[in-house]
Amino acid sequence: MKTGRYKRRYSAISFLANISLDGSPRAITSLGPKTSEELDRFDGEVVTASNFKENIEPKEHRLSKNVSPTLKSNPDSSFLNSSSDSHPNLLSKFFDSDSGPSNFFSLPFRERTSTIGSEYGSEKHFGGMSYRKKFLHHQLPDDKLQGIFSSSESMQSAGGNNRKEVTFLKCLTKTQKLRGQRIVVLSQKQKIPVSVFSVIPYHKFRIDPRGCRRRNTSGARPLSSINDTLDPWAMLGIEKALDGQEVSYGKFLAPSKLNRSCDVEGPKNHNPVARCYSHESGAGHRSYPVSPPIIMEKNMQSPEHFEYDANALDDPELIAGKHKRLLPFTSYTTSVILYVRSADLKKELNDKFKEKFPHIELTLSKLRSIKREMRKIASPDLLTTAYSYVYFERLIFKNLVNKQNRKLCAGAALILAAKLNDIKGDQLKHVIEKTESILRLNRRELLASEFAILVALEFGLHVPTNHVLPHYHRLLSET
Amino acid sequence: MQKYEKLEKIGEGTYGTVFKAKNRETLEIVALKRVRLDDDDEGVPSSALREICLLKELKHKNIVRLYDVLHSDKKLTLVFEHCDQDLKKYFDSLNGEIDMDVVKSFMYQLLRGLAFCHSHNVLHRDLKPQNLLINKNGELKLADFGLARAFGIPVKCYSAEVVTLWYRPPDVLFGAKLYTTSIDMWSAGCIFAEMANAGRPLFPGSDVEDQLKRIFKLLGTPTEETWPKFTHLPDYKPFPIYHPSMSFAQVVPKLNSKGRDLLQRLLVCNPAQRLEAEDAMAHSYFSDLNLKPQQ
Repeated sequence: MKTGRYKRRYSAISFLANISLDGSPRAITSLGPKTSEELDRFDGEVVTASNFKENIEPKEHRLSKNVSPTLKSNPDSSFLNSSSDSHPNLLSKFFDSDSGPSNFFSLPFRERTSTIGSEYGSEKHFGGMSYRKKFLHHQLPDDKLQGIFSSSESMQSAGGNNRKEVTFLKCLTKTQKLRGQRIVVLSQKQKIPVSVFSVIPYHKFRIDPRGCRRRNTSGARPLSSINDTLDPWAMLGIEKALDGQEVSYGKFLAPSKLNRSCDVEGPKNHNPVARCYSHESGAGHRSYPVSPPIIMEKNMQSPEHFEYDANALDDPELIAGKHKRLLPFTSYTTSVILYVRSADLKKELNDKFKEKFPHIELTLSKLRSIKREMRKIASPDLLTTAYSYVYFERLIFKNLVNKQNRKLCAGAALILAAKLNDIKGDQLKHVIEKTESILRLNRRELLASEFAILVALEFGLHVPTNHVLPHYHRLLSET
Repeated sequence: MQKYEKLEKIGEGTYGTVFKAKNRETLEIVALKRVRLDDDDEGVPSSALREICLLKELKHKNIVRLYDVLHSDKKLTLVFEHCDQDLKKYFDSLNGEIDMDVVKSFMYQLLRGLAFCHSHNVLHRDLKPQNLLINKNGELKLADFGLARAFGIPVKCYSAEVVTLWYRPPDVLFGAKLYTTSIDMWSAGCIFAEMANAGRPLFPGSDVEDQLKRIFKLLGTPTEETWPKFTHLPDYKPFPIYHPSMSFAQVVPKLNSKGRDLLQRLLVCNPAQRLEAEDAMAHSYFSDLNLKPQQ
């Protein structure tokens, strides 16, 4: 035990000693704010380490002290502890344990494409993370690394290529192209990063260069156990046909009121959109109030009176957090997006969503990630995708979707949409197979739940065009 | 106990068997469509899905009513309103003679049912005499929505493998993957002519090419002028230039001139110029309409 601790401390110190201060990227450590608890823990460790009377070179002592102020802000004490220790057991403990490592691995390192604000998010961590990556390369096969560094729950993440080349530019010339690159400005003498920014080519809608991203299902559950105990009927609270008995669903055959009302009413009042402008905008800046939470309780009680709104659940405006500041000048309007860690942004958006829909079990990021998967399955058929979104979101509004059945619901919604959109024969087989593999569902369960989902939707698959069109247009603009 | 007592087998639908049955409580006669559900297959057949979900929204006196959906472990039963016969069987009973007032009444009801479908964003896509049911009161009802689909968002992904060959419009015969209500209006035109001739089909083609040849021989081969860009259709094949050699008076000799005018406005190769159901109902042919002629 004692030798183990010593070993870890020693390795921590030698790690600290190895940090170069010459401005090379591996020295740029994460500067993000951390919890005080973590800081304390780290502090303690270092102090005891330096006080420990062991055969440590005075030079290393000095170095470690010099470095610690920068590193203090690095929360990953566990990382430091085990970092230079390549002992396989230690490493596996490091991955399995619940406390420290989770923090470490959830640090985002991914290219953010859709939310402009978060470009900065990955930037700040770039130096530190790339170093960690390099470090981990010794111990892990490449694919495992990829898995670790891609989160399964990103808001808008794209992934795949995590490697970045670092080039040092002494002076800029016109021939150098900086589009899409990250630039770290270092001070001339101390080589301290002064400013970090990215050059982003302008696109109205940025394309998500996705495709090769590895996904982890939440938790390490094997495929078979995911839905093992799920009875699609029970989970949806629908009366199920027992052996040989027939259950009548004639009550669901009344025409949906939606279909009739939409002919008469004309354009719907959209739910007030949550504007995400800064609260704390100072004098001179107009501040926009955040819309009050949409009151769903009333609607939930009488779903037949509830008019589905395609933009209510997955609000297209809910992409930037409060860290956006709008500057309306006389001749033009611009906005400043403050740096925000993507994990913070995700949490903020999820919180906002939760506030809006307190009864919905899914988080916004989960909803968006599952919608991305649905799109991948149905692609390139955007109309089927759009219909499946309507079905899936209506199930959510009916409070029938939870963590356990969300993939089953999404998969069934997709297959129902495909069948009604002239997808048949081999094409349909292909869609079913893709649904199985991408959503990691069991075919039998998927097909067994199809009719249950149909009943849960009260056979209401023929939905008004104005329910589908917003999804369709969003999908079109994203391609 | 079963709610329905099976009386006799009526026929085989696009999926599963159709039975005539009696409700044991109300003694009402219904039609049961039995659909087998196989887990290892592709789940609920899309034709059953379409019928359930579309007929749910289409409650109209000229559209067959879906009363109930029964589900058990291995099968799905759709309970429909029962009609005594379909238009095909009605033709067979005619011996080549048909009352032109009945034709007018049936045609009007067909258009009325169709207009309702179209106003609810549904294309039937399989109109033919077998799918038009007729009851004792001379009411005509559209049935078999197993191929129907929603329209409204124009996307070139609609199936071109729709409508029984004889009633399929030229644009779909050329492989058009985007069509609208005009697809049903062509079929309605074909059925109109068939009714007027007491059940002799207008274009009984043997294959796609023969079908198009028969159409062009009567209506003339379309040109870039009458039908812009029709040569761009996916399965376009050039056809000889036919000039109509037969007048409509020869094609449907018993139909009056107003009826012939209506027919000619429905049977237009260019889908954009085909009459809509709503407009067809307003045609002067129906000005002296009697919905319940003596049969």
